[in-house]
Formats: sequence, C-alpha cells, structure tokens
Amino acid sequence: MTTTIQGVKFNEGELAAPALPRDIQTEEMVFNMGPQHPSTHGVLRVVVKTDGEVVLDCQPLIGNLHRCAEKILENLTYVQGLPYVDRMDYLGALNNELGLALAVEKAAAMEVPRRAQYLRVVMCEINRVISHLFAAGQFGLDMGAFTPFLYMFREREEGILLLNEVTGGRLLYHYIRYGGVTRDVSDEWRRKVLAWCDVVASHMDEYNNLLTYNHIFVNRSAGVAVLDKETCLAYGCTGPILRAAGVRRDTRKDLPYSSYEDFEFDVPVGPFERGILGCAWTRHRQRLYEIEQSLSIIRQALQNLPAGDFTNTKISRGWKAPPGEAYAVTEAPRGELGFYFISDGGKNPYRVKTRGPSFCNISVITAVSRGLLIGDFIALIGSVDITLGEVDR
Amino acid sequence: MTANEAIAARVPGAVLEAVETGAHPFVRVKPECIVEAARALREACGAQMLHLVSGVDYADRMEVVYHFAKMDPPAAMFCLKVTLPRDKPEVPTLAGDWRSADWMERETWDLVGIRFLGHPHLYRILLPEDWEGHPLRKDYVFPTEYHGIDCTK
Repeated sequence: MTTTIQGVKFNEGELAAPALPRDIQTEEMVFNMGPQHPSTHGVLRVVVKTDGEVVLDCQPLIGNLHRCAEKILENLTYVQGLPYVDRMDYLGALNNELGLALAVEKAAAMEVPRRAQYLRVVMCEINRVISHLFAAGQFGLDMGAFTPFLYMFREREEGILLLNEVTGGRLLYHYIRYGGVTRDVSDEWRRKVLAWCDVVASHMDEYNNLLTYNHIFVNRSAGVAVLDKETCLAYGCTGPILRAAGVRRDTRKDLPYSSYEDFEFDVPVGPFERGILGCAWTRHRQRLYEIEQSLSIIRQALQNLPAGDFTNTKISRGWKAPPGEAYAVTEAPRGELGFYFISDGGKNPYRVKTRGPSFCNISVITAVSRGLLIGDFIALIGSVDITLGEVDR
Repeated sequence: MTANEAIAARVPGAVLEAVETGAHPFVRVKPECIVEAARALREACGAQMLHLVSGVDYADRMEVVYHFAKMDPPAAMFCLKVTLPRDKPEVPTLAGDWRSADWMERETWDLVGIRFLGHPHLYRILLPEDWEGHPLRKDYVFPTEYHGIDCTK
C-alpha cells in the first residue's frame, strides 16, 4: 500500500522488491531528482529510493505545471479555446490542435474540405518530424552525446521556419480551425517543404552514424529499461513506446482520420538491428524510422494536394457547437492523444477531457525502474520522451 | 459481439441504456456492475487498454465515462458510462484489473471529486494535497489566496 518516507508517499502497488545482489552492505537512500534536474525534461520531480547505485523504488510527483487546462477550456469560447491546447504538448502543438478540432467536428458533424485535411496532415507530420528530432537529440543528450543534438536541431530549425512561414508561430501555431485551416500554402512553400524532406532524409545516415550506432550509445541504451507489450497495454502506454514493444498499432492506420487512409506508409515495429524488443535503444530507433515514414507522407500529401477550399466556413466569434459529444483519438508524436468533448449547446464547451499520452507514458516508470542503475533510470525517462505540459495540463 | 450484448450476457440487468449509433456510441451500466462490465469488454470484445477515465459534473448528477480500446486490428473503441448521485459520487475502482486506471482515477478524484471505492491510494495527483475543492465541478469557487499567494490577479 502506501508508505511515507521523508514526507513523500510511496505507492508500493503489487510489486514486491526483488532481492538485489549485495556485495557490500549499503544503506537505502531517498533523494529527489528534479524538478530542476536537466534529465527530467521539464519540471518532473521523481523521488527515488536507492541502494547504492541501484534504484529500489521511485515515485514521480507531477503537477508542477498544472494549469487545469480543462477548466480553462470550459471558461473560454470555442474560438478562444483552440489555441490553448497548443500549450499542452508544446513540442507537438499542431497535433494537439488537430485532436481537439476533430473531436468538436465529429460531435458537430462538420465536413472538412479535402484540401484542408491534406494541409492538416502535412503540418502535423512536419510537427511530428521536428518533435521526433528533438526527442532523439534530447535522448542522446541524456546519454552524454551532446553533438548529435546540435545536428538534429539544425534540421529542426529549418522545419520550424517552414511552419513559421505559413502559421506565423515558431512553436505554438494556432493554424487549425474548426472546419479547416487558417490559410492556404503557396507553391513556393510546397517546393521548400519537399526540398526540406530531402535534406532531412539525406541526414538520416548521419544521425545514425553519429548517435544510433555509436558504440558508446548502444552500450548505454541497448537492452536497458525494457517495457514489454503487456506492461505497455496495462499502463496505457502508446505511440513509439508501444510500437517499440512490437505492437503494430498506429491510429493513423487503424482508426484513420483526416484522410490518412489516402497515404501509403509503413508502421515500423521493434525489434531492430541492435537491442531487444522494448528497450531504450529500440525506442530511440523507432522514432528515427518514424521520421522516414512521416517524410514519405508529407511528400505524398504535397504532390497530391487536392484543389478547393482550405476551410468550409468562416467560424464567427460566437460560434457554438450543437449539443452532443464525441471522443476523437489521434496519433500525436508521443502516443495516442484523445479528446472527449461534450457540448450542451452553450457558447463554451461543456467539458473537454484530454488523454495526454505522456500522462500514461510517465506512469509506467515506477513499474520498470526497480533494479535499474541510476544511469539507466535516466535512459528510461529519456527514451520514454515526455512533455510535462501534457502530463500536467 | 457488441459491447451491449457482451455485458448483458455476463451481468444480466447491468445495462441501463445502450446507444449504438451516432458520433459517440456508449453503454450505460449500473455503477456497482462496472468492474464486471469492463471484464466483459475485455473477454468478449477484445478490449486491451483502458484508454481514458473522465468525470463529468452535470450539475444534477455526476458521470464517469470510461473509454476502452481494442488495439489489435481491427481496432475498436468502447465506451461505458455510469451515473452517480451528486451528493455521494462513488463507484468501484477498475485499478485492480487495469493498471492505467490507477493514475486516471486519481486525477478524476483530484479534479472532479469522484471517489473510487477500493482504489489502493486515492489521493491528489496534480494539485497540492492541501488544496480545497475539486476544480472541474461546476459549482467550484476559485480561491482568492493560497499560502499567502494572491490568486485574484
């Protein structure tokens, strides 16, 4: 059950601590990692109980970034609320916008023009690529490889500039609106994006040689912190983590939305060349394979971009959704993002409940941290790739 | 087998309402049958993951909405709802069968104030432990002050 150590509650759950090999007599120690620890990707605080270098138990204490976004959305009108969801997963802002827009459109039975659906796909996939580049670079940073991070940021910055050119924002875009998108794209911009796709694709070998197949990196991460299929399903872990555990699940394929059924792409699943199923290295490799698939989707969408309107209606400031409810699941960079939306016909949403994938993904670390070395524990958190804005909302 | 049939076959009398068409199909079950209803989804419909637990305050009643996902193709989503009295919102926990219910139910307790009976450690997860009230309730009064911090500005 729950024990309190130095004022921090530890939930023991059903897991019994395994007997650890003890060569020397050490003492148990409880210490804080975070909320200012550089390896915790934001304001995550983890209280860790250790025996020497071995983690016995850990308790993630979340909520430092809690803004009660769901209450804020209830207090804003529809038009005001949509940019707010950008601030949940600020590294995959467009994917969040798409999630809420799809939930509201589903409840309101609103049609979206095909050109707008394709533009949403292009923007969300660019966002996924730059988010995965960030995640892969950050994981290298956690493992002590500083340089690859800068190489990945080079292409990420170009991607941000491309999004900036259309949306006017670098990280938080507010590009997707109910019923379509804000503005159309030019042919010149399309050519620039296709060129950027080629540049990123041409650098994949460089990333892999620098980081992925680097001996030190492989030794640090391959076989470490294994999250198997059963654990992932039980704790609700989705996205690259679940696929790295060997489950071929991608909502873009399985529950297609926004015309994803028009595009041909693979869903890579682990295990890959090194490492084992569900280990930290496999999760890292998973993201890099997914970048290649996203680039392929961007190319297909831009080459086959349908003619027509980019929005079906000008949503007025006082627009109201008719009474109803819907649950929309989309594939965000970190996993399955769900929005459960209820309208009572009023000017504000009645209730918006968010399933932030990072929230479930971080809940699993207690289950797998037992017996890890502290350095491997950092590999676990880094390879899970969380955004605290989405955990705390 | 639909969710409605699966639950009715396992727990006769548990289903109160079944909506099978429209934007959001769901099955409303008796609160005391929720654990068995979820097991029926797992065993007869192939639900593998508890995707989301939401608490909703409807001013005259509370609702807990569960979304389940079948991950293997063909993928499917299932939704269960329970209605609870507003003065005593209590429902058995799913944390025994579904580990993801642990944090999701704690969040629902924290923000909506629904008590999950039998939950191993039901205390606040996002808000500080000395926070008063549950913010996502419709009658929530915003605090003006917290430990000397002015919250009105």
